[in-house]
Amino acid sequence: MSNDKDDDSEFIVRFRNGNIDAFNEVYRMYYNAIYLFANALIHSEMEAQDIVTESFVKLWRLHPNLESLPNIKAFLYLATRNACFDYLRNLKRHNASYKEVLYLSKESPNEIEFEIIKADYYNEIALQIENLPKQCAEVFKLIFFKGKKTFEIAEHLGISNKTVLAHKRNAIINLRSALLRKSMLPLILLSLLPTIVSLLFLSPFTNPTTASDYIFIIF
Amino acid sequence: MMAMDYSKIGGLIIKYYNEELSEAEDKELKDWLNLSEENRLVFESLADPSIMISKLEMLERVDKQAEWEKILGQIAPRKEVQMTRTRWGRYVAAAAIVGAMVIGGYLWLHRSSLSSRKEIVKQEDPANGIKNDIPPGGNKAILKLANGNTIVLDSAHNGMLYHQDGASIEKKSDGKLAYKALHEKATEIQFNTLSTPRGGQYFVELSDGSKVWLNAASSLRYPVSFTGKDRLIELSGEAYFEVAKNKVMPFHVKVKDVTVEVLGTHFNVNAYDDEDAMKTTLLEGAVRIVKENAGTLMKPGQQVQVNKNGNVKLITEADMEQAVAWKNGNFQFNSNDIETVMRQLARWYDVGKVVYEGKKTAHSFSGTISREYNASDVLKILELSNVHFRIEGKTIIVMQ
Repeated sequence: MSNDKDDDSEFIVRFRNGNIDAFNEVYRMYYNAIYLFANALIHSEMEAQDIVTESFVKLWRLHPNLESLPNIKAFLYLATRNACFDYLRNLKRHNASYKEVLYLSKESPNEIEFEIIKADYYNEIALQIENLPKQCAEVFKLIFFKGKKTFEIAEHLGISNKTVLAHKRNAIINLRSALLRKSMLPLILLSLLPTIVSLLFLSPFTNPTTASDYIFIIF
Repeated sequence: MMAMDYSKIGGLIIKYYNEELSEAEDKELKDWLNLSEENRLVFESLADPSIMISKLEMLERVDKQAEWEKILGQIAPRKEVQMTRTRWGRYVAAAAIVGAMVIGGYLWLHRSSLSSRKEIVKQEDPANGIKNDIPPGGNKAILKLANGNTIVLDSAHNGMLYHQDGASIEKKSDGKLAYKALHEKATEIQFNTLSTPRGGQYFVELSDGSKVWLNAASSLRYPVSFTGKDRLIELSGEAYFEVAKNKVMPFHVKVKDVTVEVLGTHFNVNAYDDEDAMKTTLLEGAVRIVKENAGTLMKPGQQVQVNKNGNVKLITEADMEQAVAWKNGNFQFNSNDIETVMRQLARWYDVGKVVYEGKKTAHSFSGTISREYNASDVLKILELSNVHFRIEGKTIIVMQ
């Protein structure tokens, strides 16, 4: 999520001029979102991958015509949505009514918007993890996905406990999302999380400082 | 109902959990949440750790690098007919090629030539029997990357095509490919293969600066970046080499079981399967031909022939000009029989079949003819030696 307007416009110029690196940047920025979106519509990981590849190819075919990152994102979602509908329509022709029900419910405009919101969101979460330094990301994933303990991780990766803890601290510092950071915390705090989240939710202005301080002190 | 710009909501929710919302953004999010119960449910689901884990695991299952390479492989060919200008100023229409996979295995849809000839050979006489002419070859090749993906170079954009494995690959202009070594060394040696079809030719500069001109119906396999003890190249077909000096890393060209050890610079290797011998011609520098541990050291002006029986012959005063005529854009024949002549023409004009009607002429052909011409023009010149030709589609018929 680049907020720097100058970076964006120079980047867009390169993209429109056919710079492959700029295209690769776009790919990295949006792949996760488009893939999750496609999969949410058609529930087939293999098919979704093919549809996403096609969407990026279509994007490239039109690259001189796209004027901004929001434009590019919108195009990718639109191309993907249409490809997914075509796929589902094809399925419908060959399959029974079960698929039909799924298809119809996904066609309602709100559903599509919700899937886009969710895809955007998880994309950003995934990018935050991807942007961690390599071994730090590995440690994070072992804790987050597999719930491994420090000594287990140290053994698995062939590093010291100290290094694992250093990576955990690094992850907390570098991960912007509080939801990701909390996974680095000891189990005691996890059970308190619903309280913390609803505290954040109900306050008229989000009051980050208090919550973070609270989490850090305990840790 | 969704009056708001939902495309920004995902970003707002992320900022919310990042604790980075501005006042305005905070209000925007609250407004959206207040719009409906559905919106609030979506918001809450995003905090659910088990859903988040399953979505992230789904992403982990994708090999994004491989998917990117699939995209790269498809964006090279363009699906519209384009006019490309060959480097000698002829206009050739090249049809699109759809994702070819195997070396040498691709289809051409159709070609037609709009020619503006430099020299006019006799006007075409309809009674002559040469109809449906064949235009000359051009800069065509397929590049196969280490991971197996292929790029059709003739219709690829100019500019950076790829970078990985210690080098960047750039299409410099029509017909020219250049590798540049990158600072990050590759962890293992990866190979690329450059293949030309019949009617194709290509130039590539390898990452050590060595230059290779590849003739039609040929294939060159080489390391993307040179990090090993030596520089090992594999060739089938024909190529002309100008090898960059590197005493520490010798340059070897392998053709089946014969190795050309390069000790310096400029030489031509002709190794077509349908010719009776593999011919290496040295123009400059020094080269040793090695077959089964026996080596023949060559000097400039010499040619070594290794025939199908494995016999090695050294020719001390070889015809340098003839050996590299192709690279200079010409056919050059030196008392060659009709079959040798037709084989060369067939590769450049991508002729499907050569049919001999009646008695085969015993005439030997000598002379230089430009490769830029259409097939009919070249054949008309050959007809001066009392032989006649007919072109029918992709077949050339040779008559007494």
